[in-house]
Amino acid sequence: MSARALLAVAIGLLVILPAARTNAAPAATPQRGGTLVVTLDADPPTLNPELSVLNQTFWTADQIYETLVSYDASFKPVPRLATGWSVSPDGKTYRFTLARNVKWHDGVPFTSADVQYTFGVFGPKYSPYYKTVLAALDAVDAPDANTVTFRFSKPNGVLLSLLGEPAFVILPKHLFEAGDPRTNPANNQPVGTGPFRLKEWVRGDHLTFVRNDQYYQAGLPYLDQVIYRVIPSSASQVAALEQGEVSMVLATLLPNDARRLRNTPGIKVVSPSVLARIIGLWPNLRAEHLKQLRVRQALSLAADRPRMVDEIAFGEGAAARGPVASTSPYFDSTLPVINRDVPAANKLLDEAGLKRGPDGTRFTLRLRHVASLDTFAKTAQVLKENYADIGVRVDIIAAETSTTLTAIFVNSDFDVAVYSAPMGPEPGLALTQYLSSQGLTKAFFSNAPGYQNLKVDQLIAESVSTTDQAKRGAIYRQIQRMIMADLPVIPLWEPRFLTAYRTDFENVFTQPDDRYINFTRTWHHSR
Amino acid sequence: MRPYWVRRLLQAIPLSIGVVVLTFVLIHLAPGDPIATLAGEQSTAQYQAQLRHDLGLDRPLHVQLLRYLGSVFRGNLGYSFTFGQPVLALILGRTPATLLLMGAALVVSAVLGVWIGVETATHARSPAWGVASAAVVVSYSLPTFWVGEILILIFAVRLRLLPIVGMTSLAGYTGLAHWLDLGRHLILPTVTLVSFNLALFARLTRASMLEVLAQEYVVVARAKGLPARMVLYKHALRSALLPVITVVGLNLGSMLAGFVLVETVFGWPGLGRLTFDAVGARDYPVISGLFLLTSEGVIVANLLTDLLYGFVDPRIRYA
Repeated sequence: MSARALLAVAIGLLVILPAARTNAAPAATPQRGGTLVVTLDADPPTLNPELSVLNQTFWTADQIYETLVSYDASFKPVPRLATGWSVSPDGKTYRFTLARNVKWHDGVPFTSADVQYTFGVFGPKYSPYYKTVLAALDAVDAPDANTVTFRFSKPNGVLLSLLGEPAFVILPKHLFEAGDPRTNPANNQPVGTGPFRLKEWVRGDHLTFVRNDQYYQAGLPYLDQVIYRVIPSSASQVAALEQGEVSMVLATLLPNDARRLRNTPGIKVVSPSVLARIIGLWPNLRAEHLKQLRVRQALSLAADRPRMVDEIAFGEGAAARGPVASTSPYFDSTLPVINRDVPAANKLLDEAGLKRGPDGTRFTLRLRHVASLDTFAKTAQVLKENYADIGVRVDIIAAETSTTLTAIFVNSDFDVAVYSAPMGPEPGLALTQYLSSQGLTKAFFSNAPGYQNLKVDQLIAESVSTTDQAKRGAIYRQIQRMIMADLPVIPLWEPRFLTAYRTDFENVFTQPDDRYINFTRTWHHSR
Repeated sequence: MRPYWVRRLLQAIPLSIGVVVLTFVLIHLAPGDPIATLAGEQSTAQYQAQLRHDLGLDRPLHVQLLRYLGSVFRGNLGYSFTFGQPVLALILGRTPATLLLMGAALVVSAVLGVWIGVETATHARSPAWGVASAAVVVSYSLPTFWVGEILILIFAVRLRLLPIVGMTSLAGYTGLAHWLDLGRHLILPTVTLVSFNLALFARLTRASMLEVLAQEYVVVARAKGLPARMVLYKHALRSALLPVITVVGLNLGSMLAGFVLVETVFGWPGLGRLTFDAVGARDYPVISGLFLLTSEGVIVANLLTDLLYGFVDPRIRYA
């Protein structure tokens, strides 16, 4: 054996041995005790997920309140407050059996009346998501204390993919019934059924959750405490993780830090994202040149997607092939990879009759993006360079969130925008809002491109009412191909939402997305 | 005849109303819409319309302004849906953190800055003080957020001497331990703010001292044989401080701007960060409330500055 081979074996052993040790750890029996400290980049606005649209609320309040179902790592619905369910063949009736012996943190028993109140009374009036998802819900019946039935006026195929959303936690009827729920003190001092209770909330500094000793799942949770520490600066979050002041940087890790932390012993980097997004270029189809398909095709061909993934995401992402991310169960893997092809793009623009002027420019595009989103800003810069090669000048207009969104959605005051719409977990809902005729409302988060294709409209409507997941998947794949043919949005690349945690914790992130993060089964090695 | 300070306080009333009206109009004229951040990217057009109505944002601007003024006079600054709290409670909850940091930064910058100013004025030819003087200017020129992050890197991550973020550790100390813990957390943000504010004190004091030291009464004091230190700190500095106090008083408002960055880097739960978040969310009630209360703060600070004159220079009397 040569010296080099010996060295290789020695290095191999060095790598394998510690790995073998850490790999063996999950088989160990979970231990009770310990405190998990998680970063938040901002305070949650409220601890009532039914009233919020922000992750800071979902990441925290989902430890206190519970949903009817939750998801395993492959996004399959599994029991939570509902222990079982059945769907009628026409897809219009869902029947749930509820867990028994569940108590709210104040000792009052949890019953079907709470579910009925949440979905029948509170949701329709106050929840931002409700109308998007449950518009066709006719009634919620509670035949007995442990059974609820949802009745829809038309088939609902996507309900189970959404009931695990933190936005659909069950609220205690006895605390929310009276008065205006939006200013109810329980929004800031939540009383839930979940594994943790709120002990303390020091605004802008931290939230302390302690174990709910009366939790109905015996022996759970393992941790004594979960503390959320508010650290706005990403650099400070990473420093605190490395120093050991916090145990987890949740979903806000920057790609360059992730690359470094992947090689740091004692820290693990993960990014489960079934809800993954696509950063895309959204054309305003009302704008003169962008009406032409050939121009949009040229813009798609001229974009250097691998460069965006390498230089903006440091490889922590993927080049987009369609409007749905490759981490989604509904991604159409038959869509071709889009290679940069400047001559073909130039040819398309020539055919479109857009000749170069004396300075080499064919036309100018005003590109808008939200200034504070670094990835959007860098994507815009790459596009500006890419499009110079095809004689398209790009004027970037970067402003803060509220101003930019008003310009894009309400005033249609843009040619193209770097934007990202949430496509998960069921693309049908977002597609209705962002790319169907129904979304032509000039409201925020609507069909900003002004895209109208009746066949696509019809398929989108069909997708959300199809209960069979395989059939629904086939419809989604058809929609993806039609969108790639029409290009009402030019998909560019898929960012990842990166999380890092210290490896002395186990079962830290077993959910399919940070949206569903839950620490019921997380435990700490006491050394 | 009312005392001077009572008159000044009465003048503050129309000033405050002016501030409320002006900021209200300016914020609402700025592009952007609170619904963009409140409604959420999965909300429907109907929900957004409902929310706009519930928040009263669909009414004409003058109606909104009158309603706001009415509630301010009743002591109600409104309710923030972004933060899920009444505005007054929200702002008062964040004020102690900022006052503490501001106080620490001001005291340290003032003591250190005045000392450096005096010494550099009297040792104009000393190379050591020349370096000190240059260092002050360099630290003034460095971006605050960068200084903060470098300090974190050195003292918290590498040397592990000081905590990185927040006002207290999560251990939940009580009594003396709590105050010591708070003090440890206060060091890095204070040093960061001092690195910027020091120059203001040092340069002003130096310039002012140079002027005063050339005056005849200083020469007389020296000629009388008084100890040099006494001439410097008792006779010269007292007159030299007047312009320093004026400028610092006037700068209190703009100093708050520096707090936005420092509070963000150090996760300090104060008003600077609240302002930043509220502007981003177009949380009109919170922004208006913050402007109202900080402008009141500046009015009071300026009044105190005026009163401090009389203390530093007994010749100044207000009729």
